[in-house]
Amino acid sequence: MIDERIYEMFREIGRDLYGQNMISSHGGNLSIRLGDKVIIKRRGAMLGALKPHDLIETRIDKNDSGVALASTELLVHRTIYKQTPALAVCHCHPRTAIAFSLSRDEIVPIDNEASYLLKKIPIVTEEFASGTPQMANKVASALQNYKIIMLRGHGSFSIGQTLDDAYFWSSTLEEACQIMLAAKLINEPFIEYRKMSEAYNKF
Amino acid sequence: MPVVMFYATLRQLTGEKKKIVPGANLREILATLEQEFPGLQAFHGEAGRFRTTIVVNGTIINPEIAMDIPVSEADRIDIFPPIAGG
Amino acid sequence: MTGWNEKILDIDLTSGSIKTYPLDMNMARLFVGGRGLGGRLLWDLVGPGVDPLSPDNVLIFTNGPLTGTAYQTSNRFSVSTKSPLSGTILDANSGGFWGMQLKRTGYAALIVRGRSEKPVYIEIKGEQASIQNAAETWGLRVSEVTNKLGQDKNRRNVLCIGPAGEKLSRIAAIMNDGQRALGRGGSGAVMGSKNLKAIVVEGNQKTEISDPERYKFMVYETRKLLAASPLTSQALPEFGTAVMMNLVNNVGALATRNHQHNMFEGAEAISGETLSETYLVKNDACWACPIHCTRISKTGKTGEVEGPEFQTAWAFGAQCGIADLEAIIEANYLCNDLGFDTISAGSTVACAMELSEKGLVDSDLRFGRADLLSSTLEDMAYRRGLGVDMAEGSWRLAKQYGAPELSMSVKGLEMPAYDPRGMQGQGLLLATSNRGACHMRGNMLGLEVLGLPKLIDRFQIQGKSSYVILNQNSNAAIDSLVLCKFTSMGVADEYFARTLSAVTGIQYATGDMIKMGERVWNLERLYNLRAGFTSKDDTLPSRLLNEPAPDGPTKGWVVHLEPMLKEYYRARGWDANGVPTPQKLAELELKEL
Repeated sequence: MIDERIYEMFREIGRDLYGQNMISSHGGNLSIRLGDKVIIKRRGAMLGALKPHDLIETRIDKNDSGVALASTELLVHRTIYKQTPALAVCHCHPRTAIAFSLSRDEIVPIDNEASYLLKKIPIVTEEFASGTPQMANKVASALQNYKIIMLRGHGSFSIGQTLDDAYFWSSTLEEACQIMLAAKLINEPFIEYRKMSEAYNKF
Repeated sequence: MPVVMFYATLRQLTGEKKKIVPGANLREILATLEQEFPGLQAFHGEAGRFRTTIVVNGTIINPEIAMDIPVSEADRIDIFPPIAGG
Repeated sequence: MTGWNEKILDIDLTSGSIKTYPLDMNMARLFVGGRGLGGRLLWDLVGPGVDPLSPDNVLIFTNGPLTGTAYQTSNRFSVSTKSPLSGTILDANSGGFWGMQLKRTGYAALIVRGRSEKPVYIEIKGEQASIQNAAETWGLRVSEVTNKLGQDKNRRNVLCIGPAGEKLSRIAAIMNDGQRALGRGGSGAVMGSKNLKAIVVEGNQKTEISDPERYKFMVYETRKLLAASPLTSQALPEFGTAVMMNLVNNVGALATRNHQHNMFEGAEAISGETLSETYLVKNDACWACPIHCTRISKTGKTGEVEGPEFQTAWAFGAQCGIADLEAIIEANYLCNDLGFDTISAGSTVACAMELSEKGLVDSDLRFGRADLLSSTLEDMAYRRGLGVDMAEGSWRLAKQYGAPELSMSVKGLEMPAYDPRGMQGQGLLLATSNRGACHMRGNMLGLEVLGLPKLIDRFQIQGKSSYVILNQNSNAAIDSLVLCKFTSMGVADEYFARTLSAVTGIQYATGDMIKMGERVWNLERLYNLRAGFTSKDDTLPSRLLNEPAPDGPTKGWVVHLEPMLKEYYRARGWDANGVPTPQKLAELELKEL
């Protein structure tokens, strides 16, 4: 039995992700770690409109009955929980961030909020960008050192102590990328307003 | 009208330790207070971090879900600014 | 590899020998410094069966690669030993200036073994160490000996014990810089049992930094973050830690009168706010710290003195049913000068009060008797009257008088202010902390009360273990760097990992650093298991497991420890008896232990 408060937390954040255009109807994923269990979206469920039966509880390290119903991305989430201190994972498809990921190896924000909170978002790449152990290890390994990373062309993976945190980083990233896009359109010389910003890309 | 108690830096901000504040629920009470003491708003800022901690009759209020809970003069409301200790 | 001092100073007080040898840099990479390094060294030096007050126990003072760099709060240091109070592995850490100065001598660790025949003190000037006669200082109180041995701000620093440690009180602290404490677990008694009165340090070596540019950036960002957080820039500097008193009380989690209740009618009178309005003179800080949480208070009897902290104001306040802030300031001062851990001392007094009220002990002590605090503490230090038994701590005291269940302790270490019937996760933390009931191992206050980073339901049982484990691992890492946990109220772990990398030249990812904390935690667990502790010791006083909170917001609650503990063991990768599995140990590179 999954606690109603947990369900509400998933439902609200899933709703916000969809409403913010960070996911498609059935895309993206959210999970949390509870002790040695993980709670994750059911395969085929819509994050934007989660029902209580859309959340599956299963073991982190072993397959049990929950596995059959869990999202195909369970492997990535499990790997993240095994290899990092994460207690929550948010995976979504922030559009502008994805567009930027196609032409660079890292995103270094120019706006104040994301500079303050994130500094730099690395971009990793993988041939089969879904569900393979190689991809899971690559993502988990990058999340050892960063709260949020991009998988080129695919989307973001972010971690935190709570689902709130993980969502926060995703939302901040997309906001940062939209601002960067707008700046590119404006196309005027950048006036640096941040001290020691040259160090951000080495974060 | 419920009694609101202030702690730590909020005492300097409001000049009081306690105050009777009109409002049918927490949302209204906070709105009234923020109007009278604009400095209170700062604690709802900074990307949602560092909120005030609100306790109603000993229950810690989760501001995301409990702001519309009705309160009456029988209720005691404690408001703490962001504080920490060991 | 830079940042570390690469030498260990090893002094045997039995033979008088003074040796130095290199620090094992692979050990340094895995355990870094402070609590981690001290714990790993202790594993080799003090096996099971050693009596903590015998010459076979050791004291290991450690610093870390960040110590003395002037990174924010890089003043802290650690002592590791086997606790005479709990029998577990013990580390305690302290601030002030002494740790920074030890780093300047060029040593990563000072190991003190054996027992001197006569009272002595150790003097370390640069890399020269000597053992000096302490005939003129033995018997002196902490402030006296600190002055006499030449304490001089940030040039020469004194660490010592007071009469409590000399007389082997199991709740004696080691004090440094006059008013800072290596408080918990009775390390003062270990020092007293070696006839070691003090350790004086002077040095001038600077810490080398591998990547100065990156390091400077981390210092700048940390400064920004600490200034932006109202916790570190307003609440702590202005009110000190005692600002917690009203909040913890109002939610029904303030242990009162030896945990018989969890609200105290006098909470406001002993709060940080009241302190600010009455006896507070100014705030103060440890070396290289911008937070300034230290209180300097003044009363007629004490003059200007440090403190009191939240835990102290609670221990002699709510826990003893005392609402007299002046008496609390005096009690704190006495603890500092006699050399007592304030949490254990206050809670032991409270235990004696309950034993006395229940007619189990013949004493004038009663809850609320603020007038008896000073004389009681003196009796405890000098072992007079009931002080003989009280000096042993509440557990041995209560056992002596037939009621061990009236000691509010876990593994013999007295519990802090938080009544876990009002904070379930805190209950799990206190039951599983490696040195006994300790909140500093991973305080759940942020998550369960303050909403930092987010409020989780303090009464929720399922899933609590994940948060407790992360807190425990993260705090173990911070204790090994060695930094002050108040920085973590504004600065995330990823900044500490990067600072560690910039200083040492070894690239620690955030996850690597937390894993280092996990490694330290498991090492400590193994030490305790080897010393004979079992999962039965991961428990709480029966009052908290069986007596529902009698009133207030937490009325009716007990701590539901068992389900949380079962989940905790599984989530830690331990078996059902709480023993780390071989896979877990291999993953943490602890296989050889």
